[in-house]
This record gives sequence, structure tokens and C-alpha cells, in this order.
Amino acid sequence: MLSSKQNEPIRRDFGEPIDLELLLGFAEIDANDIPTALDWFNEHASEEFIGALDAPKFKSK
Amino acid sequence: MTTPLLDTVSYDDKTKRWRNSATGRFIPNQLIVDEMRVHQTATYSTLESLTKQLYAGDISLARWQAGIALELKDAHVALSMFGAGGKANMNQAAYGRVGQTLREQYKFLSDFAADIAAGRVSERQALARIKQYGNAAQQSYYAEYAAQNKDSGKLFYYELHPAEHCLDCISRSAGNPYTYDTLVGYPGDGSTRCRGNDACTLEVR
Repeated sequence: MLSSKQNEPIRRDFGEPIDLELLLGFAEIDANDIPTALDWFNEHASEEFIGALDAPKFKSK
Repeated sequence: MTTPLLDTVSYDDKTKRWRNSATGRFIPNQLIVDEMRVHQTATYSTLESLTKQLYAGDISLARWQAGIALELKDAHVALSMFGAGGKANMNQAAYGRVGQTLREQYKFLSDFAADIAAGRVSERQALARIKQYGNAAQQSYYAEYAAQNKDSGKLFYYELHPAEHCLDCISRSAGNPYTYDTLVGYPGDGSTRCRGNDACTLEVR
């Protein structure tokens, strides 16, 4: 639970924010981002969904 | 004694639906949405943790921003793949849509960081605000879910679920059904008054 102090805006030195242009650079998606995202999904997925994003497509038998 | 393996799911490109790989049964849409929500919640947990670390003085504002940006990237890319039916269904246009969504989120994040730096945001306010970012990740799921069904000949429905709904969501739902071209946004994309906290779903049938 947050204390009443945590309700108040804090005037302290948090440091400088990242420049917007630099931040937008993170939005570029390259080949390295795909396995990272797959790992992220699998880390949080329910058991039956682990590996689903990279699984072979369903084929009727 | 061995424990039987749980069935896994795989995507059927023909029907545009997830199926039980072993039995072939369709996975009910509600279970797919529930799974998407599991990831939404996981994202928020990470964003919340980073925000608490920032206010505890454990990390700098720049480190917080970078951490939030990378977490959002993983979440949006992964959920877009989930909506698309897997990595193999992601094309250049799909990655372009996710990239554009991330750029929008990062602009909001930049404004958020500026407000924190200026001392305008309490910890409680920051935690409430960062929750919107986690919830907004659902839009990347729905954008690809819709794109996959674009040429299916099926119609799109905004469905209300037990929750407090904003007027925009009620209005959207009243306008059902839609075609891909007449869709007026995706749940969580910020185009409704409930913004990222949108509890509606978009369904195809």
C-alpha cells in the first residue's frame, strides 16, 4: 500500500530524460528483436501456448 | 510414472484460428483473449516494478525510460505475432504497424518522463499512468488479428464485456458489425475515452 507521501508529486533530481529522437530509435524493429519477443512471450505464456508463436502451422490429418 | 504432456496450440491459416494441435479442436476465442490478457498483466508487472524502482531512487529516469521502452517493444511485437497467428504470418506491413504503434507509445513516454522530471507526478499517479501503457499493448494483438481476417469475408464486432464502459465503446458496439475498412480503431489504442484500459474485445465472425 502506498503511503500518503507517495500521493504527492516529488520534486527531486530523477536525472535527465532520454532525448525523444534517441527513444524513437528503440521503435525500429530488426531481426534481433524477434527472438527476444518470442522469449518474452514464452516466459509469460500459459503452458499450452509456450512455443505457439514459432510452432509449425496446423495441418488437418 | 510419467506426466502426460499438455496439448499445445497451433495456428490454422485456413480458418484463421488457433487449434489444439493434437485434437484439431478450435480454441475458443475467449481463451485466446484470456491468454492475451495474461501477457498484458505480465507487462504491467514489469512496468510497475520499474516505476517503483525509479521512485525509490534505485534507477535513473533515463534507465527507467529505456527499461519501459524495451519492455513495451517485447510486449507489442510478441502480441502482434500472437494476433497474426505466429511469427511466420508477420510481414513487412505488420512490423511497420507495430513500429508505428511503438513510436506513438514512446512519444507518450517522453511526455511522461518530462512530467516526472519536472516533479509533476506522484508515485501513485505514475503507477496509475504506467498501467495504461501495459494495457495498451492489446492494440497490437487486435491490429494483427484484424489484418489476418481482412479478406476473410467475415465481419468485425466490438464486444462489450462485464466492465464499466465509456460512451465511445458503447457507441462502437452499437454500430456493429464492421468491415475491416470501416473499423474505427482497436481496443486499447487510445481512441476511446477509456484509452488503454479498454476491456472490450474485437471479434470476427
